[in-house]
Amino acid sequence: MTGLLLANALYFAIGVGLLPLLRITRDRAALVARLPLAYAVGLAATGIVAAHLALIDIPLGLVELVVLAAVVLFLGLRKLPSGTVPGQSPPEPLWSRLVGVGALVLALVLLAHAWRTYEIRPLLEWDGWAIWGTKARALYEFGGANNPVFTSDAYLPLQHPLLLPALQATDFRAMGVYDPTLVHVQLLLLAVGFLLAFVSLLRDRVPFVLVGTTVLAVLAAEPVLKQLSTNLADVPLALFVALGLVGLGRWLATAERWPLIAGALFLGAASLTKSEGLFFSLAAFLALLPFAWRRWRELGAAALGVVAVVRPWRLFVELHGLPLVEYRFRNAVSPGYLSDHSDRVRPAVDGLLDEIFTLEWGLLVPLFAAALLTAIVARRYALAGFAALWTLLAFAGLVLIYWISVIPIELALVWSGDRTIITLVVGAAALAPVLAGIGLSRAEARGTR
Amino acid sequence: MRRIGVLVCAALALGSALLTFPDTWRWLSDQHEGLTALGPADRVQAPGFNNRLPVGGFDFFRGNVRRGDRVYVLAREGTTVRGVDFPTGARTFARYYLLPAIVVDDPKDATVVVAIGRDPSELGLTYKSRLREDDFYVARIEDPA
Repeated sequence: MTGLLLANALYFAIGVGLLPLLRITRDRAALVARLPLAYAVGLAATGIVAAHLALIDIPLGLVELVVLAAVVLFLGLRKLPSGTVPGQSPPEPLWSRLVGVGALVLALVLLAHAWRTYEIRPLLEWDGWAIWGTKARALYEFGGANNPVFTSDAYLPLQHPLLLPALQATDFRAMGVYDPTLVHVQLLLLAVGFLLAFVSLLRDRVPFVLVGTTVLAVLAAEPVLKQLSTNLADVPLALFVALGLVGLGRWLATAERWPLIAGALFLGAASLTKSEGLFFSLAAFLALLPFAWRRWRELGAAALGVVAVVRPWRLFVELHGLPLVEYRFRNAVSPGYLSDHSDRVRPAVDGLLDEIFTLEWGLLVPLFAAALLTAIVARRYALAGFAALWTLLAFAGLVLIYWISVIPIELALVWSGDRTIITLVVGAAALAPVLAGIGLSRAEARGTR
Repeated sequence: MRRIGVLVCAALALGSALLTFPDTWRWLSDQHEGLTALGPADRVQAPGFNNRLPVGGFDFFRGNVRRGDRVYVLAREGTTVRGVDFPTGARTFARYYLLPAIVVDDPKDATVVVAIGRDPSELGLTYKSRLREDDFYVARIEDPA
C-alpha cells in the first residue's frame, strides 16, 4: 500500500507542477485556490505519458515518477508570481452553503466506506481480469506493449487504449509487485480525484449547494461505485469525460481560458481510456462549435490537443494492424449496410433508454433536465445548446455503435448496455451545475433579484 | 428565477442521493462482509473461482511454466458460468493467470502444452517431459529461449 500511496502523492506533485505549466493557474494565489484540481490533472497527465511510453517499451516506475515530478515542479513553480486570489465563491445564504458542505462531506464518507471494500476486493468480473487486468499485468511484466498480449489475436480484444492499464502498471512498479487487489484502491482514488477536480472547477462560479449535492448525487448513484469496483474502464472514462465537459462548459460561459485547457486534458485522458472516449470528446467539441465559433482558434487548438494525445496509440494500432472485432467504422457511413441492419435501431434505442431511465441512477436524468430548463429560462442559450447537443450526439453515437455491431443486438445490450450509458448519464449530470448555476450574479445568488 | 432553478436542481441532486445512497452503502457493506474472509491467496485465485474454473490445475500449470514460455491450452469440452465454452474460458484464464508466459493459438508455436481433461498426446507432438496431476497435464516441447 505504501508504494501505491507514494505513487499517488507523486501524481499530485506532477499535477501541482503542471497547473502553472499548462497555464491553468498563472500565479501562486491561483495555484493554491485550484490545488484540489492538481491530483486529477497529475493522474490524467501521468496516465497519458505512461500509456505513450508503453508503446515504445519504456516502463514508468517510482524513480521515473520522482524525476518527472521534480522536473515538472521545478519548471512549473519557478518564477511563479504571487498574484491575487482568482475568484471568490458566489455569495449564498449560510444554510445553502452548509448543505453543500454537508453533501460534500457525505460524498467523502461514502468514498471512505468504499475504500474498506475496494482494498480487499479481488478481480471478480470477467472483463475486469480477462481484458483490463491482463493488460495491466502484462505491462508490468514486460515493461511495454510490443509483445503478443497487445498484438496477437490470441489476446483479443486488442482495440482498447492503454491509459488505465499503464497507470496500474506504474502503481505495481511503485509497489514492487503485481497486486490484483490494491488495483481497486487506485480506481477509488480516481473517484476522489474526480470529486476534488469537480469542486475546484466550479466552486468560485457556482453556488456551493449545487456543486456539493451534484457530486454527491453522481458518486452515490449505484452504478458508479459498483461498476468502478469491477476494474472495467467505463467509470474512469465517464469521470474523465465529465470533468472535460465541465471544463468546456465553464469556458463557454466565461471569458477564461484555463477551464478549456483543463477540459481538453481530461478529454485527452478519456480518449486514451477507452476507444469511445475519442467519440465522446469529439462530440463535445462538435457540440461547442455552433455556440463558440467566434473563439474557434482556442476551440480548434484544444480539439487538436485531444487528437494529438490519441495519435500515438492510433499509430500503434495501424502499425500492428490491430483488428476491431465488434464493428467496422466504415459501416457507419455505408447506407446499404445501415439499411440492411435497420432492425437493430429500435431495440438499441429502447435498450439504452431502459438503462438510462432506471432508478439505480436516482434522479440524475431529471436533474439534467431541470438544469437545462433553468439555463433556457435564464437565456443561457449557448450553454443549454452545448449540453443538449452533446447529449444528443453522445446518445446517437451509442445507438450507431450498436447499429453497426456484429454481435446480436440483444446480446450486445445485455453485455454492455448498462456500461456504455455511464458516460452519458454522468456527463449530463455533471453539466447540471454549469447549466443552472454558473455566472449567477451576486444579487441573484443572494436572492435579492 | 434562476435562483429557483438552482434550488430545484440542488433539491433534485439531494433527492437523488437520498434515493441511491443507502443502496450503494449497503452494497459496499455486503461486499466488504463477503470478502473479508478471503486470504491473500484466495484473492489471487478469485477470478478463476468466480467463473468456476479449476484454479488448482492452473496453479499446477503456473508452477511449471516460466517467463518466455509459449503456452498452448488444450481443454475438454464444456461451458463456463459466463456462457462461453470451457476451452475459451480456460484459454482466457490462462492468458491472465500464467503471465509472464504467453498463450498461443497454435500448438506448433508452443514451447509447452497445458491440458485440462485431455491428453497432450492427442496433438501428435514430441515432448521432452510430461507432468501430470489428476486431470491436468504439463507437456514440455522445449525450454523457453
